[in-house]
Amino acid sequence: MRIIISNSSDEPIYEQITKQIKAQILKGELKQGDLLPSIRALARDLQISVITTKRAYEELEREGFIETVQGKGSFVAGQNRELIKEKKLNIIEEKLSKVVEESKDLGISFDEILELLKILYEEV
Amino acid sequence: MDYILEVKNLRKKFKNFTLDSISFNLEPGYIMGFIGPNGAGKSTTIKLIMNLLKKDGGEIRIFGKDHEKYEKEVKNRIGFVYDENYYYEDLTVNTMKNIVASFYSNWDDNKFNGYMKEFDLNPKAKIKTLSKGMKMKFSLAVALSHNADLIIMDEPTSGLDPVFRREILDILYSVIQDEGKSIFFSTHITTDLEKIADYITFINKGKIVFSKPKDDVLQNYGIVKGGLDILDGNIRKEFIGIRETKVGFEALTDNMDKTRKMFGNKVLIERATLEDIMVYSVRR
Amino acid sequence: MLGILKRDISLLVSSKQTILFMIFYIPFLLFIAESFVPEYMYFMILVFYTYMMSIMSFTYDITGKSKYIMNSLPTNRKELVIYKYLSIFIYLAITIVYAGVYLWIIDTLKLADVDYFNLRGIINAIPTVMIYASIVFPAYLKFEPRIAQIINMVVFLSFFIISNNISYVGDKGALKYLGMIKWEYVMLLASTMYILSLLLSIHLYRNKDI
Repeated sequence: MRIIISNSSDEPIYEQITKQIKAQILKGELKQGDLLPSIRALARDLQISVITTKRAYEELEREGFIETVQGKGSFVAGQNRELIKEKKLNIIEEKLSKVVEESKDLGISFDEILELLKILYEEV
Repeated sequence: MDYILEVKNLRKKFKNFTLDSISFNLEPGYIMGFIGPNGAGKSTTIKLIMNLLKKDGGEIRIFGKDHEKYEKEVKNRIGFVYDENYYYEDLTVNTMKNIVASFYSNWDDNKFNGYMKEFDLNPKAKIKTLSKGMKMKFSLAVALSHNADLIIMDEPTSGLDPVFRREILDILYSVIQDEGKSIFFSTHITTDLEKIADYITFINKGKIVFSKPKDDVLQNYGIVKGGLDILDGNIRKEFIGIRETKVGFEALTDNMDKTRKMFGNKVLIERATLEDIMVYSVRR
Repeated sequence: MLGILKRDISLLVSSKQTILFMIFYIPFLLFIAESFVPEYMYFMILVFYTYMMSIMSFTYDITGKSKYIMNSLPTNRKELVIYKYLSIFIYLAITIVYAGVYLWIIDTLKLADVDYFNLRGIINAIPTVMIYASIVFPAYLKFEPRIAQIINMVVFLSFFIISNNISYVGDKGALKYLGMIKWEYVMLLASTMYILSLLLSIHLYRNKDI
């Protein structure tokens, strides 16, 4: 498992953690049943507060990515195909909402966005 | 809620200084940083907790018990490190250790010897030959060798180099792996706390300014930088402490979101460090 | 309380100052009080040493800088005070042995005419040190070290002056004087003062800022 946090980023640290863990789970780098480090061990490794790691794990649990068993630790939860797809879509949906919002702000039409999307999809 | 340390309306009056109804709580498993400028009341508070000073009013409970009524019992589970560690200069480290060990019911000699090796301390050395840093290491070794559940430290790292301070942080991180233990750590070297602390209690002029989770503090406090043209009577009230120069102003806000909404692109807002918070709060 | 005792003994043997004190004061006393009767000299030495040792131990946890450490250990004010009061008997016992050996050596080598063990001296020393403690200990617990030291000096010098004057009252004058007052009454007075002083001290120290 790999977690790299930036102290200077605007993004709250717990969010950086949840994002990275989510991504690894969705990509399959972290598999169902894999044991995650304890919140305290993680806090120590990253040199951050235990409250931060706790919050990250709580959010991951709430969104169904991990499961915590009292006394044993936190494990990557079983992800059925549909749920994974849904979660992945959620991530993209979040980003796209921001794009839509800003486009409306800047006065860019739907068609223009579509055009842009097509180009990017081919380039990237 | 079972707190490991509860301070409620603590009061103490001196000739030139009053500690005015101090309150804060610490749960087991967390580190609380206690910050404030010199003379704010940090040492006084710690001395009151340890019953070295007599409180004029208020309550202090440690492990759920009154700290005076159960003084011996409570102190048996507290490890303390002060900034001036006055041990008996003529004794050797070992002799001093033996004396201290006889007071604690859960003394762990193996642990102590482990720390001695880690800190490179000679047990046969006379205490008067130890440098300030070594004395502090000795204090810490003692504090960590009797299975204490609460570690209280009063400015333990002032006067020590950054390398050593990091080492101490590592040790504290190890301690806190046990979620039954807590650390209460007063300092004016706030960079140490920015990493490790879970909660921050800020005291100034004998009053608690805030006692919050560190993440909340660092996420909401910001430094606002802008042109002098923006500042007027009403705007000034929004900020905690302002520094004005010929080329602009810098101010502390405790609500970055609100400030962002108010000023948009007219100002630059950056995260505030604990040091910023302390400096601007004191300046106000 | 054993921890506190351990500390006192350790400090007694490791500080250069106290070691010098232990070695040189007996000859010093013998020298300046040559006119004293050996029995009385013995009494004086017992009282002096016991007294000095218990006063010295005040700097270890009441007046010296190490008081913060001592009072942060698992002990409480009451215990520290009770220990102080009980320790005078321990110091007396130590002195009896220590001075006994020291004076025995001096006696055997015929360096001076000394008594190295005198039951009467011991019996008289007990109420004497108790009375001293009763007066001087609360002073150390209540007042600043400097003021307490002054009181200490005053009490100490009074003892010296009184004993000097007593010893001039004839050969066995001192003992005769002491013999005039029944020991039982003196002991009763001393015990009462001692206990009252102990209670006072506990109260004083309990409410003191260290």
